[in-house]
Amino acid sequence: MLALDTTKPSRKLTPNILPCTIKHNGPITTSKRYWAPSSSPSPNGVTQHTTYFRGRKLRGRAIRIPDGYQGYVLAKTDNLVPQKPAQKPHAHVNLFESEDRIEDELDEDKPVEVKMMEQKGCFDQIMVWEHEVEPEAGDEYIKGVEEWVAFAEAVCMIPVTPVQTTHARTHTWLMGK
Amino acid sequence: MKTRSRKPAASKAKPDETTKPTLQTLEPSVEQPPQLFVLPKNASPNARIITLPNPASSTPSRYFADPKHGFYEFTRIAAPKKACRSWLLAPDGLDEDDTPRQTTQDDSIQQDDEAYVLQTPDLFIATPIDPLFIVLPALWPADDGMGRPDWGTLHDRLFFEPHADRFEHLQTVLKSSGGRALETMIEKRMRAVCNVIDTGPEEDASFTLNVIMLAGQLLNKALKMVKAGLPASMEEHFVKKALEMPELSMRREESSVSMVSEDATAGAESPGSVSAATSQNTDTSATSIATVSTTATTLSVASVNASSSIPPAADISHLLRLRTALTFLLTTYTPPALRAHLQTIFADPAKSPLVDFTPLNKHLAHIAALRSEAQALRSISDNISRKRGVLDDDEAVEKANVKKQKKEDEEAKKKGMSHGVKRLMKADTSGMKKMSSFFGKAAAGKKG
Repeated sequence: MLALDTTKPSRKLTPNILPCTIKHNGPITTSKRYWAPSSSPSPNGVTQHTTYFRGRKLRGRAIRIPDGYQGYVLAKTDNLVPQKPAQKPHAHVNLFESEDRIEDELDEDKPVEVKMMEQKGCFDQIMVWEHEVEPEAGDEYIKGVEEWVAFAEAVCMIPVTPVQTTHARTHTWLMGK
Repeated sequence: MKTRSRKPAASKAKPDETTKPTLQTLEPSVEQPPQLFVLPKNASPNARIITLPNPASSTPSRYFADPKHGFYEFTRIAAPKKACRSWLLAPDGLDEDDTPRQTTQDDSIQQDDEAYVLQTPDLFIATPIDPLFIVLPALWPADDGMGRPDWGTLHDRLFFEPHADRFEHLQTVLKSSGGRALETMIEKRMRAVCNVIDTGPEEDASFTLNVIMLAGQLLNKALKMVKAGLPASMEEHFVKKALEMPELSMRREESSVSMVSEDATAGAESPGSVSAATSQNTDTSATSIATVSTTATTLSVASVNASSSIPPAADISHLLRLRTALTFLLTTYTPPALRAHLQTIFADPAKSPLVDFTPLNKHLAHIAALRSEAQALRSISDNISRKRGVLDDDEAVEKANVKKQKKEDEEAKKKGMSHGVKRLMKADTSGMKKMSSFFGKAAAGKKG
């Protein structure tokens, strides 16, 4: 189980999807000389993002993280989160109280360890880069972030108020059953 | 050549000496590189990433449980393997499109010019998931195999179940601070799909899964998905393509004009006349088949007779969208055994009076039949057109014949000519005497 530390303010990053594989994981230093994306408004009103990476021209597209969400760069650590003593088992009145207590004690014997995820940075948008041409809307990342989040919200948001007619109909039908 | 053969030998020794000192050595890759997540904003500090059985595949998967916002599932977004991509986490302040710069540019850049490189271009997105699906594996099977419903409180189901190990993380989260909120969320959703016995205000309610109620919930979700609009790629693949009418060649439609008029009248006579769009669709396609084979004529008659039961196209595509959404829900969120059960419920109109897929099934079968017809036709007509292109018109045939004849004649003539004449045909003979004149004169001179 993992917990994350999102409270402390962290620095803003811009994650860039580069159209090449870099066989390395780790921190590097960038200087404006080697990575300097520029954006300029194009004639049709859309901002064009351009950059040069090792002599190659890249064109980019910015993807905003949808409202209500925030991007985080998290790294696993081995720091254990101090387990708070379990709140008095919430109003758990069972017929077999003694058994319940025993079970609780048993559970407390082996708490699942909670590891901390360290926050390395946060972001509001990501950039997808492609050689020479602007990435099209069918790109996995663009589709994933823009389409999928909205879709999942439509699917899995818990209905708050059953006001829809269809909903009412379901109920009558179920009553009938 | 000489310089070439010499050079490699010389350069072989050199790079080791010259380039090494200048090479900036990178530190070895980090063992556990950080990962990128998209999480709900302002998550509570009690939020945890937990491992739970996936409702559909029951493999352990990661979920995000936040007492404030509810449950989230993680979706991994990754580029296909063959597409070369990597992350470059660049410090901000490099792109200044619409965010006004608060700090001075130089400061921010000098301060954190440290970037990060990640080889795997993964992005984990947390999207909301209905808590209902999370407890579904614990609710199913709904009876004990003998037909008796299996009653149990949420607590029983998550803590004392034979396979309760799989919910270990959830147990811990429910017991920690903030767990109460999550428990209420789950219970609320369980009430929507379960028969409940409330034993009193002090005690936990007992639940048993009601599959019909679950079906109702799923249908509701599917309706909402359709209302919100399916994602473009889904719509394109499952709805547009499935409903595409097979294309029949133009010629066939022209030749079946008489049949069209016949059918149109038949359609008008039938009691429930259909909306213009569909009647056109079905008529043209049906009649074009009617000209082809006798079996198809019965088909066209049937479709006209059943015209009252063929709803307009909008309704068909709505049904198809609904079914696509349902299939999606079933395959992503329900255990296989339960899925099969639910599918029979949805397929049987008697059991699910809310939605009746029969018109859709009929329509799809109709399209499939048309498609196979068209396929058969196309293979025939393809052959014909490839072998003899313009055999359609009698006139055209005649013209072609005349042309062919001419060509053949010319060829025969050419073959009859001698080699010398053939060669001479290329030379300009306009200023020359006729060949025959030489022979004539010579003969005359000898004589004379």
